[in-house]
Amino acid sequence: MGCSPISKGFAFCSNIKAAGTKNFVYLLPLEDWLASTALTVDGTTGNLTALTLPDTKELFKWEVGQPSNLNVNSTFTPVTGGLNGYIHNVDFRTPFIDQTQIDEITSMIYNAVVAFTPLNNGHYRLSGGWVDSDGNPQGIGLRMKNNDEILNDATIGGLIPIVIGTVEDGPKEFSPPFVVDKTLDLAALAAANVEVG
Amino acid sequence: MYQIIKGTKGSYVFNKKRHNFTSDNLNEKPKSHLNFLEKLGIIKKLDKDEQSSNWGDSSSNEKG
Repeated sequence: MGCSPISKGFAFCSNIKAAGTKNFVYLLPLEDWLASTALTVDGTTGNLTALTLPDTKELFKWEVGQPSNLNVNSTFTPVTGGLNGYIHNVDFRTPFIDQTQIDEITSMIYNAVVAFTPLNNGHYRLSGGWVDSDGNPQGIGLRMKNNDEILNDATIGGLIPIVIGTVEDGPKEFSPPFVVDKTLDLAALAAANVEVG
Repeated sequence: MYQIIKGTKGSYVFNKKRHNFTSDNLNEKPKSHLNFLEKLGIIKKLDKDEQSSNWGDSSSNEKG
């Protein structure tokens, strides 16, 4: 498995694995989303239906540990005061990981990402980004908001809760999280970065 | 004649500039752009049967 560099010179190649289905989230650096080589949306459903990324760019799969009552949970909150817009949040937990992977979480301080979280109906929810009415990728991305560790609990000890989201005191998103159609093969966009075994 | 494989509109980056396209204006794009999109798997070339079917529809509209 190779690590692809993102901004600030940090490697970002986490591939944390755990059992279970749909217990994962795909992350993509914001700059790669905005520079996507091509994308299409469906005029009827409005869903994002196709996405290609610049050469060497790919999704990063972070798998979520069990047990966890949070798992992958995408939320959004409209702002009632200050700047109008939506706040996106993606809340998940990783299983026990090694220091090198904690170092990658640390690198999130310097980078905004967009997140694709799987839904039960097969679609995905894109947080931190959206597509405008002309078909252009938009968004300001998600940043690390919380990384509290629960170290010693008998059930969930070692899990690393991570919350990434829109920064409240800055610009907001103009759209709630966007729907990514189930026909879009995100796994293929992440395949080069997923470690097997 | 080309058509979008999935969806009805979108955008792409060609020569460092982002362009928009729709099902309606796709075939007005330069050939180099269409080749690029076809290589990415975003659009496909209609086969001859589909093309003649479309052309037939078009000519019938002209007569009407």
